[in-house]
Amino acid sequence: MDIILFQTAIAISLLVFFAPIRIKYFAILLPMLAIIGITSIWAIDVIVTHKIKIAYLSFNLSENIFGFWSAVPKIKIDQISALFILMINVISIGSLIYAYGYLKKYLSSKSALGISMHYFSFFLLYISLLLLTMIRDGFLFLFLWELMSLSSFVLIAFDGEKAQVRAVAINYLIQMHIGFMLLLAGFLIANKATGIWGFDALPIYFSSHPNTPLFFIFFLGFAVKAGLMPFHTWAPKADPIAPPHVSALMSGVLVKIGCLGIMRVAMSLQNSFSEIASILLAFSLITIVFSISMSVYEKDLRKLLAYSSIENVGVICLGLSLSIFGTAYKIPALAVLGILGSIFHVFSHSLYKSTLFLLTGNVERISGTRNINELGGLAKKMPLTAFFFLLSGLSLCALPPFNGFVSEFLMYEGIFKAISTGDFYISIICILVVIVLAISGGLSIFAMTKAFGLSFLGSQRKEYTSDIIDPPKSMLVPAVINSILMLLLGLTPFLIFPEIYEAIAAFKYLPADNSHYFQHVDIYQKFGLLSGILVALSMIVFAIRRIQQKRIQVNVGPTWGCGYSGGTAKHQYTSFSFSVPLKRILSPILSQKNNFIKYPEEEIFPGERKFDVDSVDRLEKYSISIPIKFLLKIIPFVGLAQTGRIQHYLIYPVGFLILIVVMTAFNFI
Amino acid sequence: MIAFLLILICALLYPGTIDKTKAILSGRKGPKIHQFIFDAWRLFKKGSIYSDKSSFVFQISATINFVCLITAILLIPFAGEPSLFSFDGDFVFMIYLLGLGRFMSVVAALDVSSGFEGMGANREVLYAALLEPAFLLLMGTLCIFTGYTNFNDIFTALYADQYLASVVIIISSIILFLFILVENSRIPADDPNTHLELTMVHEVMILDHSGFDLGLIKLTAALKFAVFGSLICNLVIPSHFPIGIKILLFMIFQFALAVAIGFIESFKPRNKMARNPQYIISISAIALVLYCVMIIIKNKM
Repeated sequence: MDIILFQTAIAISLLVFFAPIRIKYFAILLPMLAIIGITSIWAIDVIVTHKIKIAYLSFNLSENIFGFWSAVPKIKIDQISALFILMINVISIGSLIYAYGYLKKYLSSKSALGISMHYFSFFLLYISLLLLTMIRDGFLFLFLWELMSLSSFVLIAFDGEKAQVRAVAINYLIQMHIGFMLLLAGFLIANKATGIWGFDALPIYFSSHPNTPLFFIFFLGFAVKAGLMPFHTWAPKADPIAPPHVSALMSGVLVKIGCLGIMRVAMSLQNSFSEIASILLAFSLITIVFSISMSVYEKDLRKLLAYSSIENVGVICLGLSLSIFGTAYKIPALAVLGILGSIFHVFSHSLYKSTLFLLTGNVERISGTRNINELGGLAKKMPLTAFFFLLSGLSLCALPPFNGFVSEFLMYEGIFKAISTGDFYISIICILVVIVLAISGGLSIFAMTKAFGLSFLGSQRKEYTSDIIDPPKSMLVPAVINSILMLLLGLTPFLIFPEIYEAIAAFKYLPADNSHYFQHVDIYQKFGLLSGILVALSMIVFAIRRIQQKRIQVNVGPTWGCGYSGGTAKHQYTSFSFSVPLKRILSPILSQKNNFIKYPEEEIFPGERKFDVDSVDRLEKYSISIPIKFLLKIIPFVGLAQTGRIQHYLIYPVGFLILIVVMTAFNFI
Repeated sequence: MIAFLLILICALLYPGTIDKTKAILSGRKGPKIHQFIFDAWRLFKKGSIYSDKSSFVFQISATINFVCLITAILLIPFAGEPSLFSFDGDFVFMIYLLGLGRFMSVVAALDVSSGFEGMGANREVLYAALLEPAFLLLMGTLCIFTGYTNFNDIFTALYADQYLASVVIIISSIILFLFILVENSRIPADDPNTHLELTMVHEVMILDHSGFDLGLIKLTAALKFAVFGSLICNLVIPSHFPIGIKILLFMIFQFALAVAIGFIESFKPRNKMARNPQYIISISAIALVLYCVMIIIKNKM
């Protein structure tokens, strides 16, 4: 029954191409709501009953009819899929609600087909994300993986009239296909050894073969999607250019599917744990350090968030690597808490990052820019946007009482437990991780105070043509829902811990008996209580302050200027000046490009000039730009063979045939 | 509970003690030690002026910063007497609470659109990012040494091995002391009494706060002293002493700490601003050295 409904909903979504332009939105909303309802029921059913749900996505036909084809669309929902399904549903419905307000402006300017394509791709992306969490079969997985890449490509290229947008979208598509090839190779290798297509082959393969090479291939393939450095370069380009609801979905969910892929492979690992953990650790630490520094240095609000997303993916992989280390060095606390923190971080990050992207979309819609140097003073004009931006920003910086802190705390707890009991190597590794996590925590506060403080606070740096007010309600509703969830998860993390404990049972390498880690529920009750005290005390003190301020005189005056009263908005700190001290310290990582025209010597009375600073991603330069330059140098030599004359082209096959004859004659082939 | 009350009392006397020490050393008579209580009370009753540029963030920042410190106190034990809240990893919770307070004070400084306060805000976040590893490294060392991961157990188990403990305690106390000076923006990282806003870190951030909010901020700064001071006290006071002596020792050590800060402020110049990051990283470096020594001592190699 539910399967039929599922299929009908997908079929109905095709109506979007025929519906009148005002109704197109609802032609997508209704099927999506239906699917959200069905899948949420499945997920909750799995979570409540602790049973893996298996179903067949075919028209009420049993497996036998399709028996000749091994790839019957079979879905398998375990605990971890169930949690992911719930996450995808929450973020997607938020993004879709947002899209209603955001796309209104485009309804008159875009063609009907363009709008339909956008909605339909959004729907396809949602469906493929959902199914990717449930599918184990290799062919279908790769098919859906491709569908996900293509639909997100169409979504990114929404403003495809601009050449820059097209370039970014194609860049994205190419990178995704490199990842796809690696995944294909991974599945092929596993298939050749075991004869099974898909993730089910992995436990069998890993039990009889060395684990590191295959894991590494899969890891690279998924890392492109997850955006781990140095495969991150698509994210800071695509996230700013896509519409905000698409960025929210991509940053919030799509990269997590990459993480889920890595986890799915890691689940079946059998040996060489410490090698694999070291590879993961190296990648994630480099990712964390580079991306958070870049994020501090960035002036584009959404690029800043994109880099911070990359950092968070680094944290997720760090948790996984710690967990594998814990297994390798027989420290169950680290093994359990690492993966617990990692999974919890997937959910918390998707909540706050999608909210931040949506709210940045509000800012961009109203001011027409996302350059921090041109914003400022928005908090007084659009207080609701500012307030929710602040809440999600606090969560992003992993500060109590929000959910972002819970996941970091879980990892810290595991690390310190490992330090207190572990041996030499684990102590060294753990303290390295502590240093990196602590610095990245500090720097994410740096980045977020910059993003929030310079763009929402202070005074306005530029005049805007339109009035600055909070956008319509539909563009704020997702932020409200997500913020409530963030606070709930932050205050009562222990409520969903048992579910995550169930989920991590799928990680076969974990110690069999981790039941005594249920004592953590006790820790997190105190933890939640303390966070609650923090909130309650804040309210009490604020109430006292309110009462006191009613009794006395409260005046408004100019900002104190050290005796100087001509202060203007230009005297404020800019994005660049705010990050200069850090740049001095991190000069090997950060580099800048100055955009200005030099004064020629003969110009005696120079006119007005502009000076602008852009950040340069060094890792991108060395990992992509320079190799491509090298390739471009080689390719013309290959092109020598391409003469354009049909006579030449006929010679090639003749030469090839002669070669084959000769080689057969001499028994080479 | 006892730690909570003692820290509150000490906090109220901290600024007065430091000022008194500085006054005596420079040949002045100086205010009374409990002068700070009157000052704070006066500020709480006063009216306020808010910048016309400021928004709601400015209104809530001082309150949240203050509450963060109060909540942090709940986590601090008293030399063997358990704290109100204790769980594994509570020191991480404490350091992140301070991070929340810092976040709020920094955004409040950016809220008034003043170049001065932006300067202070900028330095504050940078120094905090560099300083945070020092504390966690120190706690990591104590975790290795005692085998526990919460304040209560760490401080109780510290004295199990008397001879080794003395080494750890002395170096940890030095690291914590250096940490306090930077965290509270005192000499040598920052001079609260300098005549020029351009060279300040913390004081320049609060230029536009007045009345109730300023009172809260002053109280928060005093609490910060007392919180970290009490951590040093927890390190040095053996947990098996009778409670009366422990309270006495606690007050004496806190007083000595305040006097020591006064001494340093009287005799030491402030660092050049550009040298501060180096200075702060060196604190983490000392903590890292202690950590490595601890790995060797504990025969982990």
